[in-house]
This record gives sequence, structure tokens and C-alpha cells, in this order.
Amino acid sequence: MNSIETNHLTRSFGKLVAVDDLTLAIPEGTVFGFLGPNGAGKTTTVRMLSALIAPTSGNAVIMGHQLGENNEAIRQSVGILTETPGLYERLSAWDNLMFFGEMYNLSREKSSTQVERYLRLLDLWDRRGDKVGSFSKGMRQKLAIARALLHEPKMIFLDEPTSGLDPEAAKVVRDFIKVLRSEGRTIFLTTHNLPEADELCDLIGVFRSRLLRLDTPANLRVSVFGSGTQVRVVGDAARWVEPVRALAFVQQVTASENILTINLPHPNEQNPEVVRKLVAAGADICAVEPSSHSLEDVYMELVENEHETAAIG
Amino acid sequence: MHKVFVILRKEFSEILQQRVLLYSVFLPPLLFDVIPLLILHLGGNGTRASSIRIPSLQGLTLHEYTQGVIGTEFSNFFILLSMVVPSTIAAYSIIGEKSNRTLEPLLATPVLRWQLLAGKILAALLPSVLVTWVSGSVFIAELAVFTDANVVSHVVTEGWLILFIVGTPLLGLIAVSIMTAISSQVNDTRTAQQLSIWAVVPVIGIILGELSGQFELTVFIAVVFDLILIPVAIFMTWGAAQLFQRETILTRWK
Repeated sequence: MNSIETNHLTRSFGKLVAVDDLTLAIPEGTVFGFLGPNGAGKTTTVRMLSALIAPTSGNAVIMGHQLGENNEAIRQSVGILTETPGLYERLSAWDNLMFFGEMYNLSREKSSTQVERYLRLLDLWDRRGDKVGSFSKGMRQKLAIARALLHEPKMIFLDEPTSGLDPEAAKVVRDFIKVLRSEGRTIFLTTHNLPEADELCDLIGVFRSRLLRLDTPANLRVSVFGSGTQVRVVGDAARWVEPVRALAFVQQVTASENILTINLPHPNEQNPEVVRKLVAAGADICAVEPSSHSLEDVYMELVENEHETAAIG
Repeated sequence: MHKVFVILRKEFSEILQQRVLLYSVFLPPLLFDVIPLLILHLGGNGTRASSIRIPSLQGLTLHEYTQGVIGTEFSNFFILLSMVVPSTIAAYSIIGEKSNRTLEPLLATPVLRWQLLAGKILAALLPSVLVTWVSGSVFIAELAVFTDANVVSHVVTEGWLILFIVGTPLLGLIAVSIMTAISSQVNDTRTAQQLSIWAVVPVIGIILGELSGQFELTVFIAVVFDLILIPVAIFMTWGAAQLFQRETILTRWK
């Protein structure tokens, strides 16, 4: 079952199309990374999917509820961590969460139980009586995450959850997201932190007003850069580009210092022949290993290509 | 209705934490209760008072008339109070949510728009009406104790009482609605309060009209005034509700 299904979802503000024809399906229990530059329309998408603003056209089903028909049910079944924590600074951590617990239709008793659970889980229990205004940014973020989870939603939107946090606080939040994933919750994560997305996400959507690519991180690497091999040689690798290119199955060869990067459709079967060719040509080979592109490389490639396409268009 | 009470409870908790706001809420009524006492204590020879022709005070002696003028002038401040106090609370309550970025998480909950709006309006209106009525009652008691026997009945007329009891909640509602509308355009409480001051101008006009002897605040005039206020309050609340929509707040409020 899919937690989210969108069908040609579009949102315009006047002439500006913030979200254009978004069609995607996010299966239950998936951590979905929604990547895109600032102003790409990510927050607008999150706002639409959490029934805060209406789409201009298209439709969506969130946790089984049709967007626009039963928005209260959607809001009840999802949790949202907004871009800024947005907490009542003059109220205590306890009072903040108790208020939101009741706003999410929990009884006062249930709300109290849940507030205690999450304050303990996020290591804020000892500060429950303190005003939120005295909290550090990391503590506020943890409190805002607790708020999003009080009503135990199966679907959670996390908008830049580690943005601006120190490394220690960011790790706590990332570890907590892993706990949520292990509980089978669906997580819609928007982030600029690409290593974080690589670490946490099962599915990645690269977005710039429209969905540029949707796949698993591994498949994205292959689809953008191809599967390939890196060969480390002695001396300048550029000398060996032509002999390798002569092999019919080689898709692309690039050289950088002493490394040859070779795109191959079937590296496991074709690597021995590449090595034989290089040795026969006189290359001294130090190492042969699978080529590794980070999610950042993939992201930059997709976004820059899109930028160039848009500029040409 | 439960969520309206939850919002009200939260709003009151926040109001009680804001010392400046508490001063703004309680200081004006306190002054309106204390200053007339001081002026009555200082007395006066009635020369200035006799030059003002207030129809409701006709038939009083010069000494009573002097006290009556002071009482009438200050009695009208309690009508104004019903607009000033809720504006102050609403400015903090609505613009405070905007500037602290707490509105989006709140709007993301399954709260209905009317529940949120009702909670916000009542949080500003209830303390204001209470403060206005309590301080107004203290003022009446002061008049009863510290002025001559005939004065109270000439100042606290039936017309004034109708306006005080029925009109003040309506004026308060209008003030909160105006503040909600202003909130959609500004981001700081001071600007909102400065702009909302203009809402009291028509009421000041009516007060000046009475004090300059242009008309007497009879039962008829008070009832007509209240009857005019009802549709105005409904219209202003409807207008505020139109601006207080999730979509509008998130995409168009500055």
C-alpha cells in the first residue's frame, strides 16, 4: 500500500508554477528523500501533502484520504516538522506538547502519557518544566519532532530536520529517524544534506519545480553515471583512454590524474577484458575497483542538466 | 468546542507570561478608576463645568453638575476601553504567532478554522470584557460613594448602562476583527496597535458629541447604537474569518 500517491499535482502562485505535474507514489514504510535547491517548491509540496494548502490542479491520496475531501483526516494521520520549530517560547516544554497533544485529539490523560514518552525518548524529560525560550536549537528541534509524533502518525513530514544543528544534535536526530524507520513509519524527508539523504533514504526524488528523477539511491547512481569501474594506474591515466575506448562495449572513459573511470554495462563480466587490454597496452595497474559516485554527484548532475535544459528552452 | 477551550487555556497561559501585555491590559482601567477619584477629590469651582451643556446633567446643582461632568467624561472612557484592551491582546496573540512561526504547526493540526478563530477572538475578548465591566463597576461604586446623592443617577443613565453592558462586547469584537485584518498585513505588534487606534475614532466622535451637548445618550440612542453595532460586528467577524484561512495565512500573510 502507498502512503502517498500524487497524480499530476500542480500548484501555481499567479504566473509562478511552484510545483509542476508531480506524480509519485511512496510505499508505506519508506524513507523518501525529497531533494532540490532552495525555491524548488519542496515546502509547497509538503504543505499540499499535509493539507495545508490546496493544489491548483491534480490530486493526491494521503494515507488513504483524498486531498481536498477530508483534509482534517489527513492532518490527523500525518505528523509534520516544519522548516522552523515554531514553539511557544514562553511556555514550558511540557505545556507546549500538552497543547499540541489535545489539538491532535488526544485526551488529556493520553496526551500526558505521550508527552512523557517522547520527552524521555528525546532526552528532554529533565527540562520539561523549563520555558522553551531557554532551549538550545537542538533541543527545540527535538521538541518539535516530539510534537510531530505525539499522535503516533504513520506518515511523517520532516522539513530540513538537521538544518543548523551541531554535529552531535544532528546525529541524535538522524538516529531518531532510523528508529522511526524501524517502526515502519513512512518518512517524507526534505533536506539539503545529501550524505544524510544517502544514509537514511530508501527512495530519492530530485525535484526542481517538477520531479527530475525518482529512484533508489543505488539506481540513481547507475542511471546518471552508469555502472562502472575505476582503474588506478602508475603515471598519467590519460595515456590509456584511447586503448580502452577501442573496446566496443565501453560506454564512456574519463581520466583524472592516475585514475581511469570507465562506464560499463556489465562490469563484472567486462572488467577482465579491460584489464587485459590495459596490460597489453603497457599500463601498470595498481588497483581496480567499482566506481563510486556520491549522491551529491548525482544531484549536481541532475540539477545542473535541468538548469542547462531550462536555459536552452 | 473542546479545542476552543484548549486554545483559550494556551492563550491565557501565554498572556500571563507577558508582563508588558499585562501592564497594557490592567493599567488603563486602573487609571480610569483612580484619576476620576483624584479629580473629584480636588473638586473645582464649577466654572468650567457650567460652560459645558450636557443634557443628561440638567437639573443638578453647580457642585453636583461639576461632579457629573467629571463622571460623564470618565464613564465614556470605559466604552473606549472595550476596544483598546482586546486590540492589545489580539496584537500579541495573532501577530505573536506569526512572528514566532507557530502558526504553521498549529494549522497543521486537525483544528477547524472556526475553532482556531473562535479561540483567538475569545482569548482577546473575554479578558477585555471582564476588565471593562469590573473596572466600570468599580467606577460606578466610586461615584456612588464619593459624589453627591443625585450624581450617580445622572451619569450612570439607562442609556449608558445599555451601551456599557451590550455595546462593549460588540465594540471589543469589532476591535479584534480589525486587528485580525491588520495582522494579515503587518508583522510587528507595535504597527498593528498603531493602526488599530483608528478604529476608536468613530466611538470618540460619539463621546465628543455627547460631551459637547449635541445629543443625549438616551435609551433609544443606546439601543439604536447597539443595533447598528450588531451587523457591523458580524460583518467584521466575517471579514476576519475570510482572512483567517490556512491557505491565506500561509501564502499571503506577510
